[in-house]
Formats: sequence, C-alpha cells, structure tokens
Amino acid sequence: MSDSENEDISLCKEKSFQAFFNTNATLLRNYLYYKFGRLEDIDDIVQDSFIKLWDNCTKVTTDTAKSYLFRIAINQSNSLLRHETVKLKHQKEVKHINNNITNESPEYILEEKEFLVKLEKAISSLPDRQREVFLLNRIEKKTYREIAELSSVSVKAIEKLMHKALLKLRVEIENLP
Amino acid sequence: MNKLDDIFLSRWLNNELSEDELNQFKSSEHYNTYVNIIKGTDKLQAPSYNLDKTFSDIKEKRNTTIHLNTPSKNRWQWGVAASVILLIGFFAYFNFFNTTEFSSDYGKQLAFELPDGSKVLLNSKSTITFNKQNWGTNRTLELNGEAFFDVEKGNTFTVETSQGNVSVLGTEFNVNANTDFFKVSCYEGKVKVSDNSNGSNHILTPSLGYQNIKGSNPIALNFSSVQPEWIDNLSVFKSTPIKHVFKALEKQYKLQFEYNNFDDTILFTGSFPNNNKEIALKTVLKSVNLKYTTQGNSIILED
Repeated sequence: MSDSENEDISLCKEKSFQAFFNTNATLLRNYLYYKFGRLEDIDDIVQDSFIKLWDNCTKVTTDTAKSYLFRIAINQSNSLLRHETVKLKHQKEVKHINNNITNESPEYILEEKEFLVKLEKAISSLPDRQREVFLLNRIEKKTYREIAELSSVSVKAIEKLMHKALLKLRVEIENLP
Repeated sequence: MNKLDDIFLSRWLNNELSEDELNQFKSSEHYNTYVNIIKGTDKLQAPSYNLDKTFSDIKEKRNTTIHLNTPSKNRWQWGVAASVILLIGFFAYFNFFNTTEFSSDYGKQLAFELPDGSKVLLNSKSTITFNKQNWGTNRTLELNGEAFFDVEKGNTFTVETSQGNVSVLGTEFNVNANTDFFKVSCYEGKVKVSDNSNGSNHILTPSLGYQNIKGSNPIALNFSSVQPEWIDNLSVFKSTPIKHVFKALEKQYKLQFEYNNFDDTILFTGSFPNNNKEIALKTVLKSVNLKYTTQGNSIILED
C-alpha cells in the first residue's frame, strides 16, 4: 500500500478526523456566519457538512477534503438560507474585545463607541459576498488568495469585492446620522 | 497624476500601493474614515465556538442516523405487491403500504422522531413499526425489543407488544418486551400497562416500574435514574432469570450462548456494560459462578 493511500484512509479514523475538524471547523463556521449571520442554522450546516465528509472519507484525500467540505457547506447554505427573509443581525452578537487600558479622554471614547455602532450597522448592510470577504480578511486574517481558494474564484475577484466592501462601508458610515 | 484603480483599497490593505499612490490616497478627504473602519473592525470578533462540544455532537448525530432503515426503498416492487393485495381488500392494502419500520442492529442504538414529534430511542436489535398515514388520529405502534419514548402531548399513545400494551398521554417511558419478558419504566407523566399474560392493569408514575418475566413473579420496580441506563451504555437487571440476561448479552454483542444443563432458575440482579464485551461476560458469568469458553461468537457454558 502506498503512502498516499494510507493518508487517504487516515481521515476515516476518528483521531485524524478530529484533528482535521479542529483545524477547519472554526473557519468554516465563521465563514458561513459572516455571510449569513444565522448562528443556529449555521451550526447545523457545519455539523452536517462534517458528517457528510466523514461518511465519504474514503472518497477524499487530505488535499481535497477541505474544498470538499466547504463546497458541501456552501451548497447547503445557499439552498437553505438563500430565501430567508430574516435579515442578518450579527452585529448584535459580535463581541467587542474590551480595551481595559486606555489613556483616551471620555469624549474620545464616546465618539469611538458611536463610530463602532455605525461600523457594525454598515457591515451588516453589506451585500453577503462583500461582508464575507471583508470579515474573513480582517477578522480571520485570511489572505486574498486563501479566501479565493475557499470559494473557488480568482484572487482578482476577491480584491474587487474587498475594495467595494470598503468603499460601501465608508459611504454608509458617512451617511449614517 | 495617475488615477487610483478600482482595487486600490485592497492593495492599500496589503501594503501594495506605490509611494505616489499612497500619498495621493492619504491626501484624499476619506482617508481617515478608511483608517477608522479598519481600526474598528480589528476590535470585532466572531462569537466563540465550542469545538469539543460540536465534535461530540457530530459523533452522536452520525451514530444515530447511520443505521436508519428507510422502508420501501423500492417503491415500484411494493407497488406490484400492493396491486395484487388490492384484489384481496382495499383496506388491507392501504395499511400495508403505509407501514413504516425502524430497526436497530446488534449493539447499536437508533434515535428517530415520530410524525407528531415524539422521540424514540431504540436499544439494540429492536424493531418498531407504525402507520404513518393515520398517525394523527391513531398513535399506536408495535414494538419488539426495547425502546425509550418521549411522547408529545396529544391523544392516547399506545405501544403494542406481544406481552401487553402500554398507553399514555404525554410522558417519558421505557418499554422492554421480548418473548416471555415484559418490563416498563415510567420517567415522566403517567403510564398505563396492560399485561396480556395475567390480564392485570398497572398505573405507573415517575420512578415506578413493572416487570413480568416468565420464570419469576411479577414485581413492582422502584428506581432513581432519570433515564434508562442503556442510554448510557449499561444494561441493568433486577431479579431477572439468567436466561434473559444471556439474551440481552446476545443482542448487545451479537453472541450465541450454548449450554446443556445448568440451573436456569438463577435470578440475576446487577448490570453489565454495553461497550466492553470481555468485562460484560465476566461480570455476569462470574457472579453466578459459571465457567465458559468462547469460540468465535459462541459462548459455551461448562457443565
């Protein structure tokens, strides 16, 4: 038996599957979250996608597992969540990292807080694709290339989405009262 | 002066702007807003995610759905069969066609929901059949083996077994019915047990049970667990003829007990684990002083 075959089979074993799960689950979940913002539905989709992957562990290699996983999850969320009229509310659930040590004046802090509220509003009003790309880059620290690979599009397409997202955020924030 | 292109903001974030471009951007009126947007976004994070819990959920989900038997896979063949039966009687055909069956394999458990949302957890090597079509008006199912029920409120819910019937309103209860073996435990609500073997009726309230096994007297059970032990992979018995404990071992581990003559009036009180064959066998057989040898799936008891 060759080495590559050994690796392929290894994803079927619980230990290696769990390792794969641990490296990829948070990214997949946040990826979907940034796009759709519906935590509970998304948790289900993430779980189902991993189960499908596990059931098909003999059909994927360690190289193809990740894109297979994302493809399942994206297909499923597109068909399940696309027609939902409930608009995303993820700005309420996004937590602020508390900045405990600060030398800023109270006025500045207040202003900053107001700005953050506006920013969160603006982020949630972005088109799905733009929000997904923007947050993957800024919060998950994914490069444009990595993001492009996740959804199988060109790097150029991601750069355009990223540019549009920033532009829209700026316009949106300047227009908010 | 060059005009900034349609991806310059992306390039700016990646530090890919030339010095000229950067200066031009910095002098624009919007530059500060962009900087604030980036600074502000850096303070955001996604809600936390519990990897360990999610992974164990996945394992559980996978175990409970993988052995699901969907009935009448081959609808075309059923159709032919049904049209023959149609000659015999429309009613019979109607019932036959809509019968749904769930069964679990050796050592496996199976969880599923009934049409009204009531939940069923099936212990190993057990079968449930019911009629999906008229479930709304007639909540009756047939059980062979052992199952735990969490019943939604509604009209009477009846479990029919070869040993007797169990009927309830909304509640949680466990039924274990095989040939010569009948045991019902109530965990929530109120359960009515009708024992076919002696025609007796019993009303059970939480933490009460009823057991009637051929070879020992019917007894009332009093227990403290909040759910059947088998859900946590433990088989528990009280004053149970040893033969039935062997049967439970056979179901759990796909075994076959072989013996010539031994005292089968021995009663067993105790438990064995459902996930460790060696320990399970030792626990049961040592406690009743029986020596045994294993041959593949056969357990041969020495005289």
